Amino acid sequence: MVSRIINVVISPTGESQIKTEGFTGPRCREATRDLETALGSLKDETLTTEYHLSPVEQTSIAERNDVVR
Amino acid sequence: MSHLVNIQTQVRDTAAISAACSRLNLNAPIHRTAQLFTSEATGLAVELRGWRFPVVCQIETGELKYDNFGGKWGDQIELDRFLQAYAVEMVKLQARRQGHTAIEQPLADGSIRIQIAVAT
Repeated sequence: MVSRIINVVISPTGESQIKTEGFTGPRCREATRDLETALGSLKDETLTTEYHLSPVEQTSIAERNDVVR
Repeated sequence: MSHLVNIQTQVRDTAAISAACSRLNLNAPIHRTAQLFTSEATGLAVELRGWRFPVVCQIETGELKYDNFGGKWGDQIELDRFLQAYAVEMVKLQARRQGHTAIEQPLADGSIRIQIAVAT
């Protein structure tokens, strides 16, 4: 089972960077929404490949890799 | 990783302000009207180490009112430390409020990382 982690790095001058790991699809945004609001104002956001995957697509990719082996 | 956001910290939580002051061994913040050099400001007044005037946290807006005359009346590093401490305590408070565990770790460049395990 993939662990779902939110990593927050706070710089020496107080800016925060929030990264999510182990989430797929828009659930990562739901998981961090309250934290982002509580901390301050959004400066910028980057969505990665995993954001655009659904849990079904991730499972299919894993199964195909097993078959190739 | 699935998404990454950068946040400009705004000081808006009373509990996190108090926790930050405690973390830095500062006096507890007091809600009052404080005199700055040429003006007054009302809010939670935080006395930073070596600063002539307090930093006033206006939690309704997240704005900080202060007067350090470009560093001559107070070292910017102290304000930076306070902002970092506030953000750290805010993250830990928020994690606790949502029932998650949070682990804090200092990094070599002076940043602080907090890892939150999200309950499935």
